[in-house]
Amino acid sequence: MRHLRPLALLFAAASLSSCGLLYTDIKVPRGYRTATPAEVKASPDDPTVTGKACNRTAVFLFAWGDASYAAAVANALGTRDGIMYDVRADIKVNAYVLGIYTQVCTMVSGRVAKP
Amino acid sequence: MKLSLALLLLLLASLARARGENDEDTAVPGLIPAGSFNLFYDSSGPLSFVANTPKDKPTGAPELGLVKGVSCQYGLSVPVTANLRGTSISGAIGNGSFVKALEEIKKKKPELVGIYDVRTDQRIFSILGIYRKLCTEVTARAFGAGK
Repeated sequence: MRHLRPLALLFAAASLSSCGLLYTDIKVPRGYRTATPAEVKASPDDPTVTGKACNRTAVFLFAWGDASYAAAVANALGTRDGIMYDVRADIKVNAYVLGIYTQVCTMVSGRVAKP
Repeated sequence: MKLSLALLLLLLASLARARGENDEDTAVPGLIPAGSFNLFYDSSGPLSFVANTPKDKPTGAPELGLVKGVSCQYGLSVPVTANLRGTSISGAIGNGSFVKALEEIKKKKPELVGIYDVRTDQRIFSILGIYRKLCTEVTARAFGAGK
């Protein structure tokens, strides 16, 4: 039990930081100043799109992925050249077996106006 | 049993945690973390940036397309004991500020006048927690001077 304590602390620290202890290369969202319908050339037939970008961690040791706003918006826009507005940004987490495998995704949903 | 419960609670708490700026535009500094025994620290990080929206683009200003600027902070943390909670000697250097990231964009496109539709992200890179890199990435649409 005594030997378990440092290990538990290590795992707790890893899960709290959402980073891998051995290797980490992730992108996390920080800020996105989205446009409102009044700020773009909005039209009633503008399409609604959804985009997703994810980071993953395995056995608390490795973390990789790109859950940035840039990636989520690029995923939502696809090949379209437009500006997203009326944007809702959410986070979705899937964790299995006490977080041994975790997936954290940034999800954006909104309408696309012409630039 | 208590330990497992504590671990589970910590895990759940971590899932509820969110990074970055809040909905209220509260400024959250993005500085690289310092180790327990910090020898040297000379680093700048992002704090807040109220970016332009498409409405702020002047009429007739030419579109310059999607641009991206990156600025980074670097950290080194060398453990001095073989204990998991042991001391480490650390140092950090770099400029990961919004100003530097925007300068990078300006360097790539000198004709740029402003940016809008701005997304800011952070890249976290770490190997064994000894070498760390924290980069600020600004992705936006750019416009030039109107006629």
